[in-house]
Amino acid sequence: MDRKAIICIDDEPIILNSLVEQLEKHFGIDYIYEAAESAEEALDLIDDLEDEEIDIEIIVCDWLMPGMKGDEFLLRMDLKYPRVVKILLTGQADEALVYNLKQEADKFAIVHKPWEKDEIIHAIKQRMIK
Amino acid sequence: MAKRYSINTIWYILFVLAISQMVFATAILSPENKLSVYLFCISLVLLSCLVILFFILKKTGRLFNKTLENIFHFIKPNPDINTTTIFSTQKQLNSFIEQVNTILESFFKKHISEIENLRSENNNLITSNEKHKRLIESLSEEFFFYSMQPNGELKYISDSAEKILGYSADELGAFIDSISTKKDINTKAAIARKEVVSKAVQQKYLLEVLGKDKTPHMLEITDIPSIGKNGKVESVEGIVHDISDAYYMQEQLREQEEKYRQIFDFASDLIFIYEFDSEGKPGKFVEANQHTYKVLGYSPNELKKLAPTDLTAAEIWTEKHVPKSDEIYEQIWETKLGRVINIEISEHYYIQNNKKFGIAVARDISERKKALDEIIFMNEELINQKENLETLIDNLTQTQEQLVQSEKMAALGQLIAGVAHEINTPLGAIKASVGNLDDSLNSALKSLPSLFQNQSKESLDLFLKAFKLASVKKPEISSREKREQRRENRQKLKEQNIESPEIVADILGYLEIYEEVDQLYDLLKFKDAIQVLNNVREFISLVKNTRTISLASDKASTVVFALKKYAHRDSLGEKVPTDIIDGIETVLTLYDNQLKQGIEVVKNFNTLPTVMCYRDEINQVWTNLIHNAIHAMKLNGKLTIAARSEEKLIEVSISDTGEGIEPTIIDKIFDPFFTTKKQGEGSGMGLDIVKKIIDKHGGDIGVISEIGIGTTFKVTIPIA
Repeated sequence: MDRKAIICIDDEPIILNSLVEQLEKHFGIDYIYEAAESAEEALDLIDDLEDEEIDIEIIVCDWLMPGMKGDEFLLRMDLKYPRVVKILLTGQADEALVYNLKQEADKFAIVHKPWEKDEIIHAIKQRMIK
Repeated sequence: MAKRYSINTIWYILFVLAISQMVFATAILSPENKLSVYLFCISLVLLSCLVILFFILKKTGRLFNKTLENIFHFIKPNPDINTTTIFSTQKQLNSFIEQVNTILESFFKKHISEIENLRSENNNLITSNEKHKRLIESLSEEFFFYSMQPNGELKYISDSAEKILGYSADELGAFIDSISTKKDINTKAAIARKEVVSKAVQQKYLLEVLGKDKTPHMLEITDIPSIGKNGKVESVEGIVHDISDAYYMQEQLREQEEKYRQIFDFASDLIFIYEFDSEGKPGKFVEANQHTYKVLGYSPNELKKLAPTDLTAAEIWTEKHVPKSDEIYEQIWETKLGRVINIEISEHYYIQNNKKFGIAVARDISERKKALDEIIFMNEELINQKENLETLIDNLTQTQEQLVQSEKMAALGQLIAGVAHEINTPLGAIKASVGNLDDSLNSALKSLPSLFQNQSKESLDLFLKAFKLASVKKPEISSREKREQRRENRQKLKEQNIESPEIVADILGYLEIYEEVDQLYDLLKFKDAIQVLNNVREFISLVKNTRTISLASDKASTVVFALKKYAHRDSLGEKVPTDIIDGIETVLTLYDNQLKQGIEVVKNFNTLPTVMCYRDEINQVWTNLIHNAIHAMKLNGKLTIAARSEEKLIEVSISDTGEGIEPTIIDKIFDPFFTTKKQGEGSGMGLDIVKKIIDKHGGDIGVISEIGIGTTFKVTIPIA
């Protein structure tokens, strides 16, 4: 059985750990769950996954991180993996910023911190259907 | 003896003359010779006068005797010579006298009555003259008389002239020309005087002369020509009346009257007099000056038919008709042409011949009023403008305050955005962990009965072993390391021929069992190993999620505490002892989410004493400076904050490795509204506010900047 990967990216371990566990609990052992603390690390991880010939199904990424921002990373991913489900997680309250991000709504879904489990699952599933 | 002799001689001569004349006259007496008749008459008169005198004297006794003696003595000069030389006896003499007497009596009897008549007439004349003289004397204070030749030469002048003019009759000479003044009326007088002579008419004229003491006298002179037989004026009689007192007083009055008339007529105010009617209400105009006619447009006759009340409806004329001289009213009048004018009027009243009159002085103040109105208008305009300006300034001040406030709010807004993120992150973690806890607890509780009832020893051993290994507190490792460890585990598990090494490795990864995996090799080879590990995982999940919640809560608390410290307001607005470093740390905490994106923060903090500060304001300084530094570095660089204290002050320097400030604008950076940020990104008030706060603390701020290297702001604040 070829397991597909779900990648979570956040610079905060508390988010990363709880998010991964949350997704694991929902999507179960059919997926490989990978965590990265920055976009740069995620890029390395993706390279590794490619080497292992593991497909990526879902990427959930925080927006504000040291280094590459989440939106930039997801747009870059979109170019390479347009079919991958991409979720941007943001704790930002800055409306102007959120507005700008929403311009890219066709490329990735935005989920605000703190999020409801159903909310993020729903966002992922909606994207998976497409 | 000599005297006696002389009297006797006179008597003697008189008698001889009288007799001889009479003899001579008698001798030549004839009706043809007129001279003889005259001579005869005169001698007769003389003789009779002598006789009368003689008899009068005879009555006085002694004189009589003496005279008689003298006469006899004279007749008989030598005592030796007897009187009988002429008259032989006394008898003869007496008879001679008797004869003469008879002759005289008979001859002049008819003339005596004539003489008597003449005498009584003469007496009358004398009496009349006396009267006149007294009269004249009584008038001597004011009158004098003169008589002069037609050529002006003075023949006579009465004594009172001296009394009046001070000049004696002699001094006066041709009196008029020498002392008359050059007054106009004297020209007329000269003409009149000439006419007295040339036209032989009586003239009355006024002449002003100077008295000897140089006081002017006004003389009213009546010249009466005296015409001789030839019809020509022989002399001029003048009656002079000194009317100085009356004249000069009148003249003075006239001058005064003229003066007042001038004032009245040429005053640039309206002056008028009006009468009050029998009811005490203002009646018709009585008199007005030129200016009144000019301003009101009415002729004097027209105005006299009007009353002041006809020209104005001002109540003052009808109700307050008791004018008070100390009050000035303002009224609106209408002129003949219908022009409305503003009048300022003051008046009072007087009573003359039991009639009440009002006298008013009024002024046309229309122009002034207009000017005043204009001034008032302009003044109001100015006041309005001033108010507008004040409002504008208020608005500007308010705007400035709003800008300052909005700058604060902008900074705060950015902070809040950051803070929101800082709080949302732990909240997100907490929320997810709580969900995870719930799931894990449910699963764990479900697994409990089977775990303790139906489990094989191996399963229980695995559970307990794995649980023990997972429960050991391990140092936090990065996701990259975790992945690495997991990969290693996977490899190891494969080598041990353990089933589903990927899944087992993942679970062990979750349990953070990496190097210790070799202790579980045997137990993992039993069936249900994955099920047991999953059970352990559910329990460990409880621990891990709880720990996450705890971490997240701490993190949120730190942020909230920093925010609370930052937002702390000194309710009294007074300086309070402040830990400067604590303030800077607070700001750094709040900016943590921005700083962590690529900024290395270097803190060179010496121990500082507490500083008396407006705490929230001084925090604003660090906020603005740190914010600017982050912005200048575009979230990437090194932020160095140093704090040290000197004797009486502390110094904080905040350095960035940003793009630096252009030397051309470095002088302007503390100016209000100066900004290098794009429109909407900053108000340009930030550094202005910083400067003001530092000034308020009596401190100083300086800046050093180098393009491409970075910028350092150095703040010094007095400790006390």
